Amino acid sequence: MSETSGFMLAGFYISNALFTALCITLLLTAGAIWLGRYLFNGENNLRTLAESIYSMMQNAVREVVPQYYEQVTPLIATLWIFVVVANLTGLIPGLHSPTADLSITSALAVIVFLSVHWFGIRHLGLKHYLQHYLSPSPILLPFHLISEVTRTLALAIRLFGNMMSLEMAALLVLLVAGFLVPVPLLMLHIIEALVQAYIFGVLALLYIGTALENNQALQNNNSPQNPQE
Amino acid sequence: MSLDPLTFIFEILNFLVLLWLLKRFLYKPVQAAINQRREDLQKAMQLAQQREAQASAAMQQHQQALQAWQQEQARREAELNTQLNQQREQVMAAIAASAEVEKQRLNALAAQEQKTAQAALQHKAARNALQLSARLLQRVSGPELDSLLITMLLEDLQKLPAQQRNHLHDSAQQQQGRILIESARPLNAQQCTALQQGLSAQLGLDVQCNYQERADLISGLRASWGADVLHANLADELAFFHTGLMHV
Repeated sequence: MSETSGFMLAGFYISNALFTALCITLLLTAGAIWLGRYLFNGENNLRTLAESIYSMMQNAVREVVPQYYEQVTPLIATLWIFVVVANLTGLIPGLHSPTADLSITSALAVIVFLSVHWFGIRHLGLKHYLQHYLSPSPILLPFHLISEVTRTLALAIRLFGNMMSLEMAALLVLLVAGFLVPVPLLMLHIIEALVQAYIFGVLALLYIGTALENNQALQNNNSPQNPQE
Repeated sequence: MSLDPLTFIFEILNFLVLLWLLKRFLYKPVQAAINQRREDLQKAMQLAQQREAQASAAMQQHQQALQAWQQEQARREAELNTQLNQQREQVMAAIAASAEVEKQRLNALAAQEQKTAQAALQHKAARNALQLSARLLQRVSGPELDSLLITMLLEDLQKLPAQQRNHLHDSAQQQQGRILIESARPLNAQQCTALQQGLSAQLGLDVQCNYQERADLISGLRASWGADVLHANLADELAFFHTGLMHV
């Protein structure tokens, strides 16, 4: 698949997936700059659309982490936007979805993994955050650690597997059946791209929310004014 | 399916850069636009609430004005009713007074008419009585009644005051004692004698009577000399009676 192709640049091997991801970054940045300037040209449909989409994403984050949605929303929104655009890139003839590359999805999963700990440590502190691995019992520490690794692997492989299988299925149908036959499959690709992006972002949000919820529970347990004690 | 470390690391950096760029150039402006819209909405809401409060105040003021106007209307209506009642009472009093005056005038008019009718009735009754008396006296008239009337004349002359009797004497004397005697029927000698003697005795001089017959005297006689006339007949008495009734 795509990981076998690439080119050399300044002594580094740049894979096509990475190149496509960089292009997506440039494209999104240019679009963001243009849209950011376009937003304040009075009332227009694009501004309304941008505000609606951003408010929708912000509300989704707020439902999970109501106290920290302002810090978490940029990460989750960026994940959704990047993964959606990356998934839909596979529909363009000659291009492949960067998310069909395990290195890309693994990088995203590692970012989510690090983000969970970043938000947890940031809002609770290192000591209190690490304590939640020992709760409710220190015996569960290995399971917590295994859970951290496995869910990150699952996050990466789920997205990679779905997108790679979609492209491969479309390629196989195209080879077997011929031109225009894979069109329904491409329609399915669109739905699958949106669903997988949504799942990836929601899972990341849930992981972060779980960490922050643990922080909140620990804060409540350590608080002397806790009415539950 | 293999993991390329370089792609892995570059993708992490790429994503972090993308996160920073989107946060810098997209999320902040969008959030600012949302905040601005919220502020606009809040201002619009405050303005709407302010206008609602103003409208409520205006409504309340309008209701108060309406209530005051209704009270003023009720007060003026009561005042107008009072004035109308007073005017009605005054008009009714004036009408009653006018009616009373008219009633009195009509009563006076009716009394006058009644009096006039009564007078006319009396006059008519008097005329009828006179006519009836005249017919009756014409039927009962005769020499006996003539004698009786002559006797009455002489008795009345005798009862006259001295001053009047002197006046009659003087006027008879100026006529040299000539007296015209008009009688309803010719007097007999006895009657003439009694009359001449009586007149001479009462007037104090010898009188000379000239006799004439006048049937319209009904009965009795009329003695006249100069401007003086003595009535002793039924026609003159009825005429006197009629004149007296007319002056009642």
